[in-house]
Amino acid sequence: MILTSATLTPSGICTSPADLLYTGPMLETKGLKIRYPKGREINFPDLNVPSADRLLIHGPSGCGKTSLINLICGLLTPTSGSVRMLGRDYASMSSSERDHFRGRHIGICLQRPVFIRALSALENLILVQKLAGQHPDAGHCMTRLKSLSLEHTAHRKPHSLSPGEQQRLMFLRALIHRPKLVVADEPSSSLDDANADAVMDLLISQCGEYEMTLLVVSHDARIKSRFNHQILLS
Amino acid sequence: MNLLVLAWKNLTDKPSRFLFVVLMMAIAFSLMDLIVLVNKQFGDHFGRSSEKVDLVLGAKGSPLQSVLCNVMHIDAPTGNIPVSDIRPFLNPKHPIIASAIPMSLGDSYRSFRIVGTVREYFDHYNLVLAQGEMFQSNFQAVAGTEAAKEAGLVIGSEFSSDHGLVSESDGHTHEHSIKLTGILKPTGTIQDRLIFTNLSTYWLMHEEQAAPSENDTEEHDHAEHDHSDHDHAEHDHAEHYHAEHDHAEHSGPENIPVNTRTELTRQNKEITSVLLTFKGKNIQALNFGRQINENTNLMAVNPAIEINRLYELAGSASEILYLIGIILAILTILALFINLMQVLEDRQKEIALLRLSGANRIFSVLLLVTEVVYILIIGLGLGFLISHGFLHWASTNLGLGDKYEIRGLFFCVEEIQMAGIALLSGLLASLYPAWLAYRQDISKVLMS
Repeated sequence: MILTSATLTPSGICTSPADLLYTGPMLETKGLKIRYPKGREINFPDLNVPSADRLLIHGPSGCGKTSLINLICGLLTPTSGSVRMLGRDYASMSSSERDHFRGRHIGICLQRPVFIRALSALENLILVQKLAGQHPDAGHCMTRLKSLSLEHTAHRKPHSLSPGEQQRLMFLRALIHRPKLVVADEPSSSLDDANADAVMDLLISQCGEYEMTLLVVSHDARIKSRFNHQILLS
Repeated sequence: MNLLVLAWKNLTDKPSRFLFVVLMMAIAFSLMDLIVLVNKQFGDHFGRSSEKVDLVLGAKGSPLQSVLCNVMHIDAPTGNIPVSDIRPFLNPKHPIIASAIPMSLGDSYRSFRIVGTVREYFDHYNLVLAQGEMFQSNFQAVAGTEAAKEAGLVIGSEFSSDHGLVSESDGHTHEHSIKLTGILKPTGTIQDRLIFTNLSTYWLMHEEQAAPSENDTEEHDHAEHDHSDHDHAEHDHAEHYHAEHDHAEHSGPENIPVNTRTELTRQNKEITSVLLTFKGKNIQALNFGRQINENTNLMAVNPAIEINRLYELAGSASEILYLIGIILAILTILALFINLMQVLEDRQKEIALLRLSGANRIFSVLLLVTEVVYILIIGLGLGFLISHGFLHWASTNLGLGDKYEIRGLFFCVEEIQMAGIALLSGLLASLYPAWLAYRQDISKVLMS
């Protein structure tokens, strides 16, 4: 296959030749340390996450879980250490490149659902595709909405959906552009047992279906059994 | 889903907030635009009308009234002047005067003023016939294009003029009809709304009225005439020729058409005014009016001076309105700024979400600025529509178009400049919120 600077995969996703040829670890961190303005300092363990792996990072509140997510997503610059994803060091990227890289390769599920309130559920999904540099594919978005029984919400504003529908839509938004890495921040913490199970089933099945690497940050002990790799932050 | 669509959807998601800012902008801009448009058109109208006349000679009275009546055709005459008094100024070889145009005013047809004048008037104001021919005999007339159209006059139409400047103002309608022989090309000036005839037609019409028959002579004795049944607000009795003319003169020579100023010098009648232009702007010309006022029974008025005086009177009112407009504009820009800060506060998480999804900092800034541009364009556009629409309505329904040539479909550079300043001010108001959007630390927003 001849690869140009950007190529469409059979699924219609735009990716670069380097990404297609890359065979190393999906995510690699070394000596990550962050110091907050008030003087508090957190050292993070080194990570080496292979492609399509499932990793749980857990620990008590305030141990730096969300900070680690921000570092992995390139939203925070570490005081020292490095983050490499798909073999590329964030430190070598400009802020704009990092934004673009994140949009293309990382899907993020926030603790509480956030959407563009002026857009419908379908438009929210299409916007993610567009920002990821993909061709907007409404048909694909509708199929995925249907797969999560959300087809009736396609043209409704997200704030008019039930909390459960909003959460499923948020997961779908994180996955719609088929990122290499899906990062979920406390996806089950505020849910009862049944819903926590359902949410984790959904996340794991969707990531498994599309061979995405799943990184969950949580202090919820109920979900530990679902992960073969776990890192405890203290 | 591009930036423009997203910005528009963001705006219309909260319609009341959007409408509030847009309406404030529209009202502030329309008020300022109205002042600019009215001032500009008012100034143009008066400037155009007065620039061709250096001095107005008329009966003693209010100088401003004399200019408004004889040049602008919006007020009543100050009185009549005998031809014998103005004869020296009609001399074609006068060392100072280049042209002298006599006029008789005071009659109308369906509210369109009838001007008794000479052929030189048409050359002076560059009035050209569009159809028909110039009046040759008495009781013939030519009409300005709008006067003909609105009064329903065509070539060959015969009409009876009303005594006074407003239709049927005093119930006198002259018996002898006037025949329309020509219609003038449009000029965009007050002349489009006038009807012109020769001076002798004016005299004859009033002589008929003054002495219709021997039996009526007694009744028409003006010394005993009861003036209380006249509408004095609408026409000045000084404008009535039958008030002062000598009945003994009406036999024979006055039936000769008076179409030129040379022909006028042979008459011994009265007219309303003479419009003078000078050969040059030398010291003699400048003192000419003062000398006339001091040494004759005539009043000489410089239209430019009177128009300036009128501007000074109207200027302070216009300045106050303009000041109100500026204060409103500042308040609008402030409202826009506060609105943007609120938007930024409300959308912190959405902006963070966009950044998470791959949008860079510039995208966040452009999104905000695009929304501001939408507000500005719609607000200013609506303001334009309101000001021009209102003027169009006022022009038609309040008679501003007839009297001052104020039109709704008039555009000037000043309003474009004003729109440019408003646009720039709005963008300046968005600078700080845009800077905050650029600087937003999304990790902090997401952690909160």
